[in-house]
Amino acid sequence: MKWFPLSLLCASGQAQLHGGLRLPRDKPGLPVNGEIRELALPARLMLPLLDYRREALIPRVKAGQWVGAGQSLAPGVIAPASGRVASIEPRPVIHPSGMHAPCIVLEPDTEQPDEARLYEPLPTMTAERLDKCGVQGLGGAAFATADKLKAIEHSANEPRILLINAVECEPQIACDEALLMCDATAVIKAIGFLMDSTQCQRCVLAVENDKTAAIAAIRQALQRHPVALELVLLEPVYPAGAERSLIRRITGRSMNAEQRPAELGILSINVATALAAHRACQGFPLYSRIVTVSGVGLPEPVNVRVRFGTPVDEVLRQCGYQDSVMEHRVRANGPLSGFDLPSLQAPVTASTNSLGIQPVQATPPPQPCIRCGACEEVCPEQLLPQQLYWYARADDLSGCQRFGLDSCITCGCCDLVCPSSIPLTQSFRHARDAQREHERQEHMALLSQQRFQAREQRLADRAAAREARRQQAKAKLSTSKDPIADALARARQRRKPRGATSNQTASPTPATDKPNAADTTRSDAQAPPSGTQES
Amino acid sequence: MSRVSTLLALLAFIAALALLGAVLGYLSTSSGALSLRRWARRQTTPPDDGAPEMTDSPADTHFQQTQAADTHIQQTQAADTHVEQTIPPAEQLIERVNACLPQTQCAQCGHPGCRPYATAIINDEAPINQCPPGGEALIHELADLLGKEFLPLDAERGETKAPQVALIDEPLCIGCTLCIAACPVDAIVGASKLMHTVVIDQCTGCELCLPPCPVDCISLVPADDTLAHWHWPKPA
Repeated sequence: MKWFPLSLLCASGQAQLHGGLRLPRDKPGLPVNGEIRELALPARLMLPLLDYRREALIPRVKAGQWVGAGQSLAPGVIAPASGRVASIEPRPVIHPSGMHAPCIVLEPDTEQPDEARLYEPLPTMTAERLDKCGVQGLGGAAFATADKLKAIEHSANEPRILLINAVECEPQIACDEALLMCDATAVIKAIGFLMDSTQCQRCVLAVENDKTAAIAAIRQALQRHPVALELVLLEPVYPAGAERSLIRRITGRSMNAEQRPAELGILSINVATALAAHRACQGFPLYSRIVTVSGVGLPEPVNVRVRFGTPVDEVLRQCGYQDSVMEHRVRANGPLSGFDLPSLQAPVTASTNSLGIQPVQATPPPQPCIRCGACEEVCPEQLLPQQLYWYARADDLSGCQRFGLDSCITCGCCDLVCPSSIPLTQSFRHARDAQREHERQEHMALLSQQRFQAREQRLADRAAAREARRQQAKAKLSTSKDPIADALARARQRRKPRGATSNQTASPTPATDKPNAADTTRSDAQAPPSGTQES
Repeated sequence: MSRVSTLLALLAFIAALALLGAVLGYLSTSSGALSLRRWARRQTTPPDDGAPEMTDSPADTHFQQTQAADTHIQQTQAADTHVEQTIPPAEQLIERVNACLPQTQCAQCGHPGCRPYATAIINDEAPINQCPPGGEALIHELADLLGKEFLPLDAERGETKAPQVALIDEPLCIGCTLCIAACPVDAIVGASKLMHTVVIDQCTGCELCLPPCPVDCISLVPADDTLAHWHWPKPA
């Protein structure tokens, strides 16, 4: 097919993203003078004892203990400041459910030491060091980077590609852009380090083509520190930064919903994560991130560096948020794919890339679907949301599977274009969770069935053993010719006083195989079991 | 001179090719193949003293016999696999019904566990609406599976409850082991005259441990909604 002028058909070299939305470029908080604002430490830091799967972690510290900045408090949980562990108790966490989870409450010291190197610098990146320094994905999913690195090391046969994702397609998030503008040199150095460590054959840095200032900064940094990386500029279409579609466009390889990029030999990480991984290998643990704070009630949208565990209300207060008469809602992780926070006491974690304050608006009531097909045109995964919706509404999980529910990335494009304002994305989220819950229940049912069967088997075995013993005893008794005489003899033996030997000869010798023991204690010991079994 | 020798060599090569072609052509015809096979058969068959030398037709029948033997082997293989798969259809049905049941082993249906109830359903000894933990969803599923009419849940058997687990009030427990013996899924641990406790992850909330407890220290509490198990609500 080389003769075919494919390049004439596609304007650019890459495959195009299906659907998507060209949203107004609402990128707030760009540092004009190249600054990311630092926040003062709050009175208390709350560190949730949860991993990225929302499973509980076991703390390594106790209440009342003093901890240093950068010390590991639990697997993947790092102390963001030196201070005293006030308590370990349930607190609200940043989650759409508004549920509480066990958190380490840390009271920071008033005087904080300067950031110091905690570990020796390493020549190459190791999963152990990433684990120790608590490096997690800073793009939004907070996947443990050490796990990604281990997975890529296992898939040794594949050609390795390092994909650095700086495509921040969602409006009102600009933390990666700010990082590139302020610290492009460090980012390029980090990418060079990662390329050497992973021995990748190709390294791609994907950025949207309208981030001109960031691109200029990268080009400038590349001139100073030449690194063999491909700078891929993408059209600013939402959701161009979604991992699966990005990999499809850059490498031409498609993944299904269950596959991870590591299976294809691709290490796909966020640009801020790349920098954090480099810093971890230099000996600095990860305990802060850049958060874009924007929306109504703020003097200006800002990018701030927040230590993990800082409560959201504290972040907003320090950014100058004024409580106004209007009721506001705070949305984390972007207006489209994010969620509203039920509690502002919840702390910022590695996955919190933005906080947006929006006025509360009554959502228009959903109208019936008119089958306009607008959702299908914008779906980046080429699903049929209007069809999927019916199955999700009817709780038909197998129908949802057939129409590719697993592939849905819940980007929210279909919600935005739906003229009937149907809550499509939430239906899909519900259906996906229902599917997961169904699978969990089936698994639990299988386990309890196994336990029940094991118990039945055990009880049956025990009953069979008892029956066998009974039969054995019965058989033993039936061998004697005169069981009544035997029983009399045994009874006499039992009644016989200690030391009386004169009666012994007078007693009739039993015809059983049991010897007529001279030792009375032995016959005493044997008599009771046979007596009980007889009765 | 060299030109003549080259020509000769070329001719010889062409002749060899033609010969080879002819031989191959002969062999590829069916009669050729047959005769080759006969030849091979004669070579491989050990000469039998006293027996008359094999003629063409016995060799052919022998060949057919071996073929027949081959097919026989295949048939027996097929029979073997068939034997492996033949679990009685009733058993298969019981397994399928059992897979639908919630496996709480609560005995609310009047049978000592989920599998006995599944057996009773298949033997037409019990209706399909006797399982309160499964609720209406289960009755619909069973009706679809067995081609039976939907029946509303038998109210005498109890009502469908939200997921629950047993909890032992540990200071009150006297260590009588009666609940351990009653638990159908071995979810209670403890020993005689020592405190007992429920393994929450394995408890099915069947309530069978409640009646034997002499000090009433077991209660049922709603199963905890953890963050890992939380799910998005269905939009109105």
